[in-house]
Amino acid sequence: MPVNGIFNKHLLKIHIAGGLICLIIAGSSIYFAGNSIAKRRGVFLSAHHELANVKLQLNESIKQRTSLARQVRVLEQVSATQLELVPVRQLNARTVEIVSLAESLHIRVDSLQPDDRILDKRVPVQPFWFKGSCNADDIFTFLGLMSDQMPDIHIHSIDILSTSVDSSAVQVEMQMYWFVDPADAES
Amino acid sequence: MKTNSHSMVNLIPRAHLEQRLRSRWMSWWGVAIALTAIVIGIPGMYIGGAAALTESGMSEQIEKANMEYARHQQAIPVLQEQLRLLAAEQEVFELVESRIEWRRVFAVLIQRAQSDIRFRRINASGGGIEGDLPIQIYIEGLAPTQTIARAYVVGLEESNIFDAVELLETTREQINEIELIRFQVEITVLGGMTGMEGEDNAG
Repeated sequence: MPVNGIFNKHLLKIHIAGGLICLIIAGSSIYFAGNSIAKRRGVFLSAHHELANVKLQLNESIKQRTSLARQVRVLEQVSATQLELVPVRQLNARTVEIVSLAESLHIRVDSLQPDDRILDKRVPVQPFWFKGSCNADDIFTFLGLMSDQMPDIHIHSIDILSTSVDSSAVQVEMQMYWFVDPADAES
Repeated sequence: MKTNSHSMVNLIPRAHLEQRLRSRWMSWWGVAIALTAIVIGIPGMYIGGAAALTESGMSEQIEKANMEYARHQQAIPVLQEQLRLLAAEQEVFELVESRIEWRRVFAVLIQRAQSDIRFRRINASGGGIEGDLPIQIYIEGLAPTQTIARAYVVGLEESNIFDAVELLETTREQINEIELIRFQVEITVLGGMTGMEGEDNAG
């Protein structure tokens, strides 16, 4: 082999090695940067998507909450002008009110018995059975006063029986429905 | 003809020249490698590293939005419960308002009877909790004559506050040596207060 040929071969090796090293450095650098950017971009896009979703849910939630709060406000305003419903735990106090009213009208109350609470209807109701005797006129006055003073108690059934033709004495039996405060009825 | 040529003789040994050329190229490549590293390598590492390590702030925003979302979500069931109770309260108010007013019913029954009729029994029931069922009123009374008993029934009909008034039975009875007409009337009111919109205003 001529000397020149060997020399050129050595130079070629240097060029190849130098070029390869430069290429490796440049390639690795570009690959590393590109790969990191691509990963970062992926993470960013995923986070962006997640953020968009969370914001969408948040907006829906805010909308729902605002709408509910508005409805609550409207109903609270309406309720403020209505009669005040009494919680069922004040059952004894309520029976005292009924009996006091009856006795103030000279109705002889034989019994005022609470029945099983009704919870399976549109509204919760506490029934009472009222038994007593009085003058016929007094019972009508009693019904009027009940309606005025305790409008949340409705007379569901009434049975007035005259005990004598010669007098206006009657025996009365009533089933009363007390519309209790629904907030307290389920407790 | 004489040629005036000077033949140049390189006295540096060829091997040394080749070595020098190799060294020069190696130096050149060293510089090229260094330049590549500085111009491309280091910026690439920097960009890649920065991309990998830099926080976009997105996760913080997500966390914040999530927290706010959770806060709203917690408030919603509370509001729904509040709304349910208020709606239930409204239903109670509606039912209370639409109940039959017994005071008015009894006032009509008594007013129409005047002083001629005596009641033995008045029984009223129905309507249901929701006030949507018919109400039945059963009256048992005593009248001096058939005419008065039947006139009473007609009077009740004419009050226009009842949906149906039916005279069930009349019989003659001796009470305390006086003959009286015992009569039974059944009155129907449909749909609670809705059936109570008659002209008679006997409050």
